[in-house]
Amino acid sequence: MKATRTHNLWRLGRTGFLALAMILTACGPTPTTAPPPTNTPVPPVATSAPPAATPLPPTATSVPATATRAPQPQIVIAYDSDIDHIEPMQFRSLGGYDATANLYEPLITQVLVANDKGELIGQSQFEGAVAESYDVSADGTVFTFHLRQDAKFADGTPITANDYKFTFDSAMKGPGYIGLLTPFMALDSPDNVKVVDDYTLEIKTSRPAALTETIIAFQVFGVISEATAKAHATADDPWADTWLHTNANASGPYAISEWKPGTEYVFEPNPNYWRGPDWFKNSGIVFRVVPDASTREQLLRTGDVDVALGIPFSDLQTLAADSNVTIHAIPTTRIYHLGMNLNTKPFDDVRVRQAVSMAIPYQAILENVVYGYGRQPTSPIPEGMAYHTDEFWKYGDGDLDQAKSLLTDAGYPDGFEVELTVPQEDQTRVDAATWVQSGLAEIGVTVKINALPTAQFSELINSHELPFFIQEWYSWGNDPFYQLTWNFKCGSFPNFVNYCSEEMDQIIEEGTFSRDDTKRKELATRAQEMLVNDAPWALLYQPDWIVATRSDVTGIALFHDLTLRYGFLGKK
Amino acid sequence: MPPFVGYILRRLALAAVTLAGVVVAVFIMTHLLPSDPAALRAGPLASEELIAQYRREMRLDQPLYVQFADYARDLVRGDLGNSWRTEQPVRDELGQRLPATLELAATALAFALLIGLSLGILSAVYFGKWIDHAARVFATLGASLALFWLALVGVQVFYYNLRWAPPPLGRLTVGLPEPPAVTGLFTVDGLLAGDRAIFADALGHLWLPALTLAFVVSAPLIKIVRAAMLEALSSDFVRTARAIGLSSRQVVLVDGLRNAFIPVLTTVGIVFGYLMAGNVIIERVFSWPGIGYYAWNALITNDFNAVQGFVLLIAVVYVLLNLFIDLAYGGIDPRIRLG
Repeated sequence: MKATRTHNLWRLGRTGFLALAMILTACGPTPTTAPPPTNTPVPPVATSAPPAATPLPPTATSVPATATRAPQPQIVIAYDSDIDHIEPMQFRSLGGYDATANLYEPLITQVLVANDKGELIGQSQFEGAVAESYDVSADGTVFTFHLRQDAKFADGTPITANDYKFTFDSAMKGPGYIGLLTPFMALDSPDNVKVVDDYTLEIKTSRPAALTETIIAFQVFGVISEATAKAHATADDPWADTWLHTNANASGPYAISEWKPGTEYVFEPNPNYWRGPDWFKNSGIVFRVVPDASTREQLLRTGDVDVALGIPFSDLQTLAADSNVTIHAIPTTRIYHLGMNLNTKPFDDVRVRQAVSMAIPYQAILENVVYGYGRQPTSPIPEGMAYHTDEFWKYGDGDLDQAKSLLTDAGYPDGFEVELTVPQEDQTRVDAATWVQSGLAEIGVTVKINALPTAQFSELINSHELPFFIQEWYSWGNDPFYQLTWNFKCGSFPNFVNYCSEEMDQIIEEGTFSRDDTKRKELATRAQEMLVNDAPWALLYQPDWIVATRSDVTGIALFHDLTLRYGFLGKK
Repeated sequence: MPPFVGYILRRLALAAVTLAGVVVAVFIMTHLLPSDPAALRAGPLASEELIAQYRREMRLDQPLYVQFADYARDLVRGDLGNSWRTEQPVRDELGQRLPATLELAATALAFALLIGLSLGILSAVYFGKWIDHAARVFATLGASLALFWLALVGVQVFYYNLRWAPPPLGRLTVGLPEPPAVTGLFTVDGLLAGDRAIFADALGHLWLPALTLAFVVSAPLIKIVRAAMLEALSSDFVRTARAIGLSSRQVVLVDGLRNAFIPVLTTVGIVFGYLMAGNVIIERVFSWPGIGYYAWNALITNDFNAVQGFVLLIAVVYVLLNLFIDLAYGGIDPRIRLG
């Protein structure tokens, strides 16, 4: 009731505003094409915990260095998102995440392994970045990182343990959200990050946690220069937040050489990057903001850009037919789901949720929404994540009779009417909504689709009162317990369906704070059994991550945060 | 003091009242949208404390009238506030993008005037002949074709197929340095710097989006020029002029056109205002870094300050434009007295 009222009020406000804006600006036609989806990336989750105490091999890059050095090409990328800012600890646009991932270097980094198509995929194992190696105490709580003595920031000053200490302090005390990530590694206080000497850093956690390495390897924990930040700090802004929004003293592979908001950003290899100048496969990245998808496609087909991001699924088949273009479709663990709010009628009844799950035309969605570039998820812990199992999945065979009898048992023999809310800027969700609508019509449920601007959609979903919506989730930390914590723990902010169970909370707690593989697998299996049966999410599609390139472009390197590492990009 | 100075002062005073009204109206409307910019800024995983902190920073915890007083005070100092999306001053962001829109709008207007005046005059002079019909078909197409379709076809044909236009990647070729900023218009700055290559490159990027826009906005110009010319050409003074044996060219271009110019000028004002408000579609398709796409992004993310700044800027453009046109009336038609 309340949600509906807010929504109507809002609509009035918005319409009025638009009308005024039109009058004042005589701003002609409203655009019919939606801007690129502005889905907010979600910070990471971890993967299966590696056995404790593995000193890292000295910087094994999985890609062999080229023997002879030909002149390196410059790579031009047509990007669908602007870079709003590059403050590494606050939420950014997708472009902002891509940028910071290439500007700041964490202590350790994901191991990359080439798949059969030559794409380099980040694994749940880690290797040294600025840290040459690290030790883990026998009980899995004390991590000692040994930093390289030759690693430097772009300005030539050495990267020391003090800079990491500053980075963790800033993360946990300063503005931004990344303080929310440290509980996953049981890091209770910034005081537990200690500088042993200039090149040794100790991180002490209050108990063993599966995700410690995963979290430390997140791009948001890339190291910031303490000296640079302090030089730009003010009394009101002790962490130099303002300066960091548009500037970086890079510790990662690239430094910014051109910064033209809304137009162009140029990244040049950081001359002091610890892997050295020979590691780069290109001489720099030109990042052009191209808001229109069809323009990006034409630019790629003519060869005026080398890489295009944000190509709609509906255009991929045509584009793939061009022999000069290669579509890289990399499976991910992102799940688009139909959220059913357990605090609202009729979704408070598990039989209704199960009936909805049974009536979804899964195959049609896969074929017509993501055009085959994806898969049908069979568990809220998706394929591609540790301990995934599809043994509990029971909704895929389209048994409408059973769905109807479940609805009858729940007291809805004639079905019901419900409003399905989606963000209008995400075409896949708008398309999926119409398939949900037609599927549910078969069991007597009348769906009214309510497509809203993203800002309004976020506002409504954040209220936790939206009954029925299509949402997506992607865990940076590729681990079931990271996934479960955010989505199904009582009171978690992104738990928009209000799922809450003591047993689940217990499972999450035990699985997060254990480094025992067997036990974690048991817990994750039980969690999947519960969630598939309770069906708070109807699982719609698990799309591939898409990047389109010219066919001569090599070195697509994708980490769990779904951002490219530009240094690997080169040309045949 | 000449009378028109007093007139200008009165008009400016009136403009200030108009702008104040715009400020109040836009402020109220953006703040009545029930979406919480503090929560949007903090992101999907934000803690309550962080949202509360942003709310304090953005003064959203204050009563609306206090927020407005703060905003108005900043505005008087020329401060439009910061965009919460980029954390940069809105004034700078609009300032960076305005020249791009201005250059495109001015070029489009020049094309549109060329098309509008020539087709309008021809179709009035050859009233009822094939050229008149062709001009009317042209105007109808311009008024009814969807702009986004036209832009996409333009890119497909002139860039992708024919290669007459450069890649639709903004204002200059990738890698070319911007000319030293004087006016912010790359064509003009290129000429001022004596750099013909920049000038040519900037013009190369301009012509297709400008022509696309011109095609659409020339439609009302053609119609108004035609109608005004028909009226002027059938008036007594033109008949007299013809009767005393003035050449046909002189009759049309001097007596006819000058008398037809008042309604045309009004339309030019409207068209230029429309072009200056930025065009989201053209800016999207041609990756043009102007204020239209900026405002669109601000609107869908509910970026208060950016939206308010944009609307205010456009209001100022309209006020100045109207003032200028009113003054121009006096120059064209001696019967109009200002003051």
